[in-house]
Amino acid sequence: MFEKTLNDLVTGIRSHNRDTTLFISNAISECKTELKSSDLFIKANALEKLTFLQMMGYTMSWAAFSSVEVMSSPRFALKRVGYLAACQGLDQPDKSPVVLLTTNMLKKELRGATVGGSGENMYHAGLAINALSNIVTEDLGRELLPELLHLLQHPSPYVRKKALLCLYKVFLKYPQGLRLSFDKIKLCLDDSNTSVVSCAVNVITELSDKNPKNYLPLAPAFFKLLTSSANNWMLIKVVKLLGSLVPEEPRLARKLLEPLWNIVKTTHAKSLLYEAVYAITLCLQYVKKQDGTQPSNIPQVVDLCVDTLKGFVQDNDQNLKYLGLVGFGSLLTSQPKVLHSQSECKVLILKCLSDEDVTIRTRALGLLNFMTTKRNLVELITQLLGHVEAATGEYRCDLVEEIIRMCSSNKYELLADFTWYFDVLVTLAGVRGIENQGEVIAKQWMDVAWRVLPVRGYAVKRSLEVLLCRGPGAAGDESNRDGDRHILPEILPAAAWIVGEYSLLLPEALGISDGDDELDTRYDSTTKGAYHGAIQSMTSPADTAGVSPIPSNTQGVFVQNAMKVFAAACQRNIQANGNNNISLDGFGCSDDELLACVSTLMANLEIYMESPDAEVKERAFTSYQLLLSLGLPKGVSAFSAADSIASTFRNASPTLTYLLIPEPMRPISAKAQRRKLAEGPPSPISVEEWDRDVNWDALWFLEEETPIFDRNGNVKGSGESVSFTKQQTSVPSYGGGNDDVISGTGTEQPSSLGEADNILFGGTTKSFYSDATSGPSRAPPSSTRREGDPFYLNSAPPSGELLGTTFSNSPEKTSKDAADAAAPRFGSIRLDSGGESDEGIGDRKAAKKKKKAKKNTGDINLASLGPSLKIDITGSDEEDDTKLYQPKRGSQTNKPGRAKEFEILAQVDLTTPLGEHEVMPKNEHYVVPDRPRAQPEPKIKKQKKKKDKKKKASKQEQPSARAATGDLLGFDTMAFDPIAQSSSTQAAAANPMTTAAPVYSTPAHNTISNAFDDLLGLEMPTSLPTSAPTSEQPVISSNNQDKEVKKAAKKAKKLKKEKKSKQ
Amino acid sequence: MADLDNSKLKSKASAAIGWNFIVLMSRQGKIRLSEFFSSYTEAQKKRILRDIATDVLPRQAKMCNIIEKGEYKFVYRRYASLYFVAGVPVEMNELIVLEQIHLFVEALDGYFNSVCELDLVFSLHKSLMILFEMFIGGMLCESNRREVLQQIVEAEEMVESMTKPGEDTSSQLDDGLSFQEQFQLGRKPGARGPRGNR
Repeated sequence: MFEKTLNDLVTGIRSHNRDTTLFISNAISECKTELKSSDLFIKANALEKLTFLQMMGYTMSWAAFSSVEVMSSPRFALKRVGYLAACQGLDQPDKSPVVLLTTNMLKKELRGATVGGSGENMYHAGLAINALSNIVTEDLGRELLPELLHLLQHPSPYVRKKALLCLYKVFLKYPQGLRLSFDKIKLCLDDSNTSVVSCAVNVITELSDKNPKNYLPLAPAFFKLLTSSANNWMLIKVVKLLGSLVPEEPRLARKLLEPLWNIVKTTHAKSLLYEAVYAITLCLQYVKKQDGTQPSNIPQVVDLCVDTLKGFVQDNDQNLKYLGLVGFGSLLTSQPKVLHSQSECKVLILKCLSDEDVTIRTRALGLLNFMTTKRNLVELITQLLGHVEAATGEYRCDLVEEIIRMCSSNKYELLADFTWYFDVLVTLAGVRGIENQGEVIAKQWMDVAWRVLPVRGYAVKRSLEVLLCRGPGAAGDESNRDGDRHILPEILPAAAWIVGEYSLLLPEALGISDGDDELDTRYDSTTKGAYHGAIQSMTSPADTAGVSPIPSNTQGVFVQNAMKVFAAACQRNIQANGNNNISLDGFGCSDDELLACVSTLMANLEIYMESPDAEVKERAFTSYQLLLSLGLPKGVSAFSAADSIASTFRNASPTLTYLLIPEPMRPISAKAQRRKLAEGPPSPISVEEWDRDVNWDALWFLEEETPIFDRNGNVKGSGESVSFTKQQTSVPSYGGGNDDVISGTGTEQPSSLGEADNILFGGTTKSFYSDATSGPSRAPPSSTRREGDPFYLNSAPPSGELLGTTFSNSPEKTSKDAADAAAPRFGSIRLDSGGESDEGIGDRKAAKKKKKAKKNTGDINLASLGPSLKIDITGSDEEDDTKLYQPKRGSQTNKPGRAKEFEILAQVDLTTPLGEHEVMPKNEHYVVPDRPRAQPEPKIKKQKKKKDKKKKASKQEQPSARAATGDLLGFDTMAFDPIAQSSSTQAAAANPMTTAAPVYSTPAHNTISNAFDDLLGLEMPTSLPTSAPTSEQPVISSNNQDKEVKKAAKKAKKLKKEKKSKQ
Repeated sequence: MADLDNSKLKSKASAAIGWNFIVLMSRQGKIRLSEFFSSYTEAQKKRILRDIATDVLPRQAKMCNIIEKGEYKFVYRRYASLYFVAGVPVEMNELIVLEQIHLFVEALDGYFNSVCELDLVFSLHKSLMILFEMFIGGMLCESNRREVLQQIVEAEEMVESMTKPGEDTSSQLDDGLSFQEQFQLGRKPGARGPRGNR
């Protein structure tokens, strides 16, 4: 039979270009059959092929067992193939049971190296070490650590080197071993062979990366190496190691400067030169003495670094250029001002920004932060903006991030001209492909608008411009507008909020002329004026649906702010009328415009009310009802009487202003917020106090019996019937309900933090008050109206009873219980029950705060920046504080894989001396104490035996137990022992029943040999001789077992031979 | 905005010096050899290989040989149409990695007697052997070129001395090309001549 060799496989794959997968799957199945062969050559060949396929991405973990078999071959050539296959195939050694089978094999190889010391054994050991470094697990590490340590004294440096390096891998899996063996590693630093020393440095360097503290005592030894060694490979490692020790021992920094300086001066190797300079930059961070002075030679050292690094950056070799930039980055952390005087370096670094290599550009970008001063900021940013246009992908985002960072660092420390900065932000908002930076830009946008008073008007203007440019444009000059101007979607809510919140500044904003051209305030051809344009753009029906609907939270912000703009328009209209001067300064709000605003709002809000998003729907509905309740007649159109509408809204203006834009938001310093927070919630106020603070005049319309219309304009009920808990008809006679509202009362606004909250409370209390006193007459339950509407999915039968009990709004439930049931849910305040209970308010306030905090955990909803925002700020501040910590915690715990791997190793402390209990695990045969012979119930005994084993394990003698089972199989039957071992454990564990009573007489014997015959594909000998005298004793000493296993193995060999001869 | 992190610029005092992985990839994106010294899951490995194909291959000769990828970075070197990409910790000295890669290539070259991509394709196991001889757990074992080669050749001689001729063809000191292919390459079958017309 011909098996494919690896060559055949490779040529086959290369010739079967089209159906490679088919060919490979055929090859794999061939390999599977070949692995079943008893010939190790064929197996090795199959493994070789599988190793190749594994590299191509096919798994070979199923062949792990075969590779262990081949590993045990006495032939070096085959063994090598087996080891290689094991290295490649067992890539998750912790999960593979097969790894345990290699323990003894590896141990034998490692020991073999020490016995003879001849060339052969050396390479056998080398193979074993290679494999061990790949497949080591905790158990393997514990088992083989003594052998590895023994190899550290091997006469051949080849073995010493390998064993040393392998130790590091072992420690990764078996960190406890580090403490036990570190002394031996230390000895290797004085080895006569330099490569061994180099390897020792290697291992210690890797280890010190995990926990530098442990290796501080070694610093003198390394220092000696640094000054005496001439091997560059090793010097680099030593420099690296010492550099990493500096943060732990700052005194080392000053000591290191001189030898490093010497290296920099003398070495010709660029790699060492770089490493030394980099180490110096690290040291420079720690050279400060205790009394705050610096060593006198620091300026020279810094100059040397700068010169060297400059040489790197100037170099034609791109790698050196990159390293130079990295080195500068490190240098600047300790000497941030270095570049300010080095104009030549600045030029060089700026040149790197236009390098075609992204890696270099990114690094150069990182340095800009240190090069900016107040004077060159504008110039630099302008340059960067040019780069943004040319950049692509990730780098573009990095650029934008950097621009914002440069401008905004340290509370806009370097920034002088905020108008210019806002322009930069507007430019950035129009850049494509930086979607992940949108939020940052939007935040900046708002931050500047509300913290920098002088540019606020300008911000409003630019925001309005951004909003308007989304429209179809005024008829006629379609060509003038760049219709496909890109605006980051995250910017829109920010722009809308600025326009809405500062809509009172609109006239002022429009008055700003920035020289080049007047802002075209027309949204489309029907736009009447600036206010109308803003409202049009913010309630454009195209946003809710259409080709590219904007996100629903943006829609929510839009609705809210359109209303704010409308309120401002009304106020403007009043001013215009009051002054009797229609065109105040050219930007008045005429009656016509007001009418246009109303009709646009009414028309578009209806569309928004259809929104599937609850937030948008609710806002639109509230706004719509507010407009209706203010006395807007139905069917407003452009042809209605402009002045009557205008006068209605002139009357309503204070209300609108009061409700929507009571007071422009002001930034509150973090300190003030924290102080406020520390004070705790404000002391509860009685209703009377609220009454005093709340401008009830503005809420006149609540007193009126306002008809409420449905979509068709039919009267549906009165405005008061719109209650969410219980509906009622009678209005409590509350407050001085005077209809004659004097214009301008709206200016009496809440000014303190707490009051904004109070207003809301005022509102809610009112409705709750009415709930509590609600009469028996109620509106019909909404459940009946729902029937037949396809929107509502029927999950339960629409019975009024059921709904009544859940929602407590059914007409049947008029009893007091219902009210009581509703009370805790809505926290009603009963005025009739003897005034206000203080606890109630406190509770409710707390609840409210909690609710707000909850709201803030998600994305900050811009739309919530209503009158109550001031409290939100404190809330969000708090939130920020906690967030600062959270990611850290998360990064520690969530760091996958590799970090976790090193965690335990980092915890190992080498500074404390070894305790008495810390001894190298020893492998000894487990000697079972003598027991009485008579064993009436073998089955139970067996379990006992298992229990015994468990106990052993808990005593940290587990290894010895396993070693015993391994050893008793004998090394001379090595070819078979893994099989036997695995099968015995497997059979014993998985199938204790089969090994029960009848077969029991020779438990160990039978299980091992049976399973092993199985695996070799032999016919199962139906009756094995059970004559072994000791086998009647269930608990046998290991020696006996040993003999038996040998016997079994021999028998199996015989059988095999017979079979072969038959064939 | 003051909380924008400067971590990118922070020079970390760290001293990891072992490779995380090495991948040999051809210009066409075919993997010729890959070995992961640190433990990675299959998904991570796939991602790394994909990253290499997308990041390293399109780079021009003029660009620098380093690509930063967060926790690790690629340091690569191109030999003819084959890229040797090493994944190393961020703190590692790039120049030394380049040296190490070159050392590996020299070892391959010495063993295969002027190595070419086909050699690697057809005798993956040998190049892996050499890799394991040189690097243990990603750390370079011996920096002396002559020593490295000597060890490899000695180990290989053991194979020869222990194998009777004809018994194990696959592990002989032959690069494993079929006769036909050896002809195509302009060599005498069975013996590696001096550098031919490759």
